[in-house]
Amino acid sequence: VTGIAGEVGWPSAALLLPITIVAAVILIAALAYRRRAAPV
Amino acid sequence: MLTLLALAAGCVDAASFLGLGQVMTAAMTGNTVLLGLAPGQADAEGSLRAIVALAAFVAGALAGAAIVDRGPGGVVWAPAVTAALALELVVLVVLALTWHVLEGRPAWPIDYRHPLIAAAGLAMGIQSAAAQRIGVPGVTTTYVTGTLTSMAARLVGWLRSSSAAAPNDRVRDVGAPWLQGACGSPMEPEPYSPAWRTSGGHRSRCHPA
Repeated sequence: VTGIAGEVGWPSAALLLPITIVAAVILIAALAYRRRAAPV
Repeated sequence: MLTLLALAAGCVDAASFLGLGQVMTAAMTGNTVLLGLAPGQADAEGSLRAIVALAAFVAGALAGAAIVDRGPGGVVWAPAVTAALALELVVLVVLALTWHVLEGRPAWPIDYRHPLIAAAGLAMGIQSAAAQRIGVPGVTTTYVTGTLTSMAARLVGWLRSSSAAAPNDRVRDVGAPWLQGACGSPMEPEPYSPAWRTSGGHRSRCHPA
């Protein structure tokens, strides 16, 4: 993120990583909930 | 899961610090330090950015708490937690798109960074409320000081409780709380409570759920 936001100078693109991570967490939680498993 | 959320918070913090005028939107401890430094450096703009981030974080935490409190109790990861994270995701996507449109443009009559800071702080506040609802003792996703302090306290507790154990058991016990904190595994009942000690909890609950 520091490379993209600082060196490349494109901080908005650096937000793609946290967006992907949060989306993945939501997906895993939803799948785990469907299987009635605690996703932690 | 909490580790991934902490990673996301670190990314948002790095992006906002580098792109929005050296302000932290996830680590509010660091932000309060910046807020304390700014007046000493006669940096009114820096103070305003830090105040906007703080206010937005609190607003996000309030909104997140309102969402997760509607979920059923006794569940480690209630659907309301996922709903709060979905709201955080929406805010992050809007933030990224808006930021992408605005960056690189010529000077605006007003500083467009303030609404972007507010959006990032809002998202991180929501995430913090969701992470707190999950209820892993002493583990958070947006600040590290409290997590490290909790881990250190657990380490001392584990060392004391396993002092009579065999050396191999002791090595395992020392590593467990750190892994537990990193994995964000739930610990029930509350560690070091009388019930936890008598039930041998440190032996039976050292594996992530």
